[in-house]
Amino acid sequence: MGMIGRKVTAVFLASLLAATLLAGCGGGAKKGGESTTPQTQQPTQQQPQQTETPKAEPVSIEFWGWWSSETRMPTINKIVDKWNSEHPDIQVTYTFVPFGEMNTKYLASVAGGNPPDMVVSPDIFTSIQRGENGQAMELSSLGALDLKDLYYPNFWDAVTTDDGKIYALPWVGETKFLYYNKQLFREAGLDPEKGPVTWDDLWTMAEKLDKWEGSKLVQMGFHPLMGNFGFQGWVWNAGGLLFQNDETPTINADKNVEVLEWIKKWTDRYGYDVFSGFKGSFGTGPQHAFIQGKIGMVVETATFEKEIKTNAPTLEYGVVPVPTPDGKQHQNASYSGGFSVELPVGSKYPQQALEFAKYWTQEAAVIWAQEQNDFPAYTKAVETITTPEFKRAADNMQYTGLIPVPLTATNYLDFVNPAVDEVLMGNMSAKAALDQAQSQIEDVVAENLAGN
Amino acid sequence: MAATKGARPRRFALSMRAKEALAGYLFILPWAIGFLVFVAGPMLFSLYASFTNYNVTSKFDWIGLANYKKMFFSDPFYWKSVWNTLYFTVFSVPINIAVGVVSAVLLFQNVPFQRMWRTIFYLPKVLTGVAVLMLWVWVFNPQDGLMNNFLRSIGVDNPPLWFASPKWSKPALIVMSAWSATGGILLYLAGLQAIPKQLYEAAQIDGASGWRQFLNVTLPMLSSTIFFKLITGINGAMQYWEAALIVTNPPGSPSNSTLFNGLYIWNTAFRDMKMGYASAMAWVMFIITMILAAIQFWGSKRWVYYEGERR
Repeated sequence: MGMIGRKVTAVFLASLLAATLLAGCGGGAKKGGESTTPQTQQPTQQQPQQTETPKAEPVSIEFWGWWSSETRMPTINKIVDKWNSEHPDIQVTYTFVPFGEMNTKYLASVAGGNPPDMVVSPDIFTSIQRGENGQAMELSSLGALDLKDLYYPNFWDAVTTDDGKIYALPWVGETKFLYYNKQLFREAGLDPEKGPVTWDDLWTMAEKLDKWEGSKLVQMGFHPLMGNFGFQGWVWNAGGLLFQNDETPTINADKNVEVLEWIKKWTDRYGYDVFSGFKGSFGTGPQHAFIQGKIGMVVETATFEKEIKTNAPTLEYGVVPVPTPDGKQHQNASYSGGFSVELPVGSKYPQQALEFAKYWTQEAAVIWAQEQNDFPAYTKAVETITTPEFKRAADNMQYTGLIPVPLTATNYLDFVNPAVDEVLMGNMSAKAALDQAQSQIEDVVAENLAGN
Repeated sequence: MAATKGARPRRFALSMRAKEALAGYLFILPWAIGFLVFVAGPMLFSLYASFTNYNVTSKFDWIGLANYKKMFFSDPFYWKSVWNTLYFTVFSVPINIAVGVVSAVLLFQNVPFQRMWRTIFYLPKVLTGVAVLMLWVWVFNPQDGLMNNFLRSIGVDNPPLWFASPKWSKPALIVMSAWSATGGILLYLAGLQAIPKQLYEAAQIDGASGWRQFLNVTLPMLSSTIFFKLITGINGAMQYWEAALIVTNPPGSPSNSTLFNGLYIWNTAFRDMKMGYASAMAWVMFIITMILAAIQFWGSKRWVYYEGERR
């Protein structure tokens, strides 16, 4: 009896396990890469009204973004609630997907045939790539062409192809400024009301701001690669380009070599070890070198101002446009990344999703900009937002390039960054390193053009 | 009556052995199905994909050996990433095993507060995650980090820059991984528990010192556990890369010194959307790992002892 009982139990347990596992798989496989919420709501909301009036069929659409924090969620909820109360026929649900997982989840959801209806894409420059790959929907056939004049042209160009395909609606971007520490300026005998204008200013001011304790650098005046600008930023700032057009890399152009030599000069001034040790000692947020008062001047995004105010409310700082070699501001003196919204291929309600995407990138973008300090691509935002920070950013937009990522080599920085490292370490000359990066990127371009 | 009584069980009855086998198969069925559907299936798919330019959404064309040719002959990062991965494996696996065995043996002694020590040493295993990685970034902070402050205090004038230096970034990651290796003590403790006391008694009667006992009793009796940790450790190390993604910026820097094979595969697949090429790289890594495991199994005959085994 005991024996048989145990056997029966064993078999029963085993089959139970198998059954639950299979049930679990069924659900998982069907859902694909999707995360959680809306499924349950959809039928319950649809059913009762369907029987009453077949004409106004309300739909529920879902969109994905990567915000979940306490500072972001109130704004998201406000935007979504406003829409839902004004549009009973298009009810919207927000689903949080972590930033780092957005690309993979988005891709998997499209491949699995069950995508959300709108995605806040993590990078405006790759929208076209996703469009051409059949992941993001082409919007001109839905009537998005009329929207062109509502957005700044550089943002619009970032999401549309030369032959008129529209793969996303531009949402927000940013601009970058040079921030300087007025307190440190005063201590160094510099005029705290006069920030640097040219590259030479940076050098001479930094000379007064540097502070050493023996062989230890305790305060840095400036270094082009501290902060948030990078080699590519300085190339554009100097009027150079890394790509002539989508198919022609110009990584090793003379001007770019000069820029890298200029960065090398800054590095040698501190010594590579001192520079990278100093750089490696700081992080972001409260650990930022500028917020800690350890660097005199740094290039950062416009939203960095909010971080200064949060983390170092007493810090006295000045904000000026990013200095250029000759002091003249031009269209690429600063540069911007940005975000767009895409409608995944396979969405069941593209027309309704486009309506929401319009709202998201226009009316809602204004709400977002007001509360979160990003800069909307929607031109009318300037009329309603009047904070000095926003005005300053708006004024700087004319000097801010949205430089497209070449679709034939989206990973070009993988080749450029190590080349810069090698030069700064003194292992290669600027010319040789950029020559090498150029030939490597040419290979990538050729390979991608061949379609592999 | 005798006939009917005999007939019924004969139709349905399986031998004891067969019954046990059936129950066994039923027990492993969920995992077998899971393996076939969620592991073997996708693996075979990725093998096929490695001969294509698959990008999930629009391209899925057969391109023959092009991915493999590119990998072996023209990709400037591929060999670098393999080298980084092997470097990490060669140092981290033995160090982790040594740390694990030594801490387990120490914790096995009858020390006061033994339970507390065991908990403390096991903690890294529980804590491992992004938060811990961020702590390590602080430990290795070149200017004010614990590590360099310590090195300076014992007279090292120019301590390494760790994550900021291509030479020291991998050693820093290896030190990091050794810290969490103490989490492996659980298995070693179980192994130690299983060593019969009389072996030590016999050794003591023969006059063996503590060190001798460790070498000639503990280690051989623990060898099967060590072998298990060696194989799983190599597998784990060959797939190591998440830490590099989190502690270095841009990931893989400086100068690609932390571009591990896994990181490169991940970038290729999920950032550049070249699933075909990424699959090809993953398969080569799989084969390399298999070869390493095969060498270990072959070599294990010389040093691994299973209790009750006859030679």
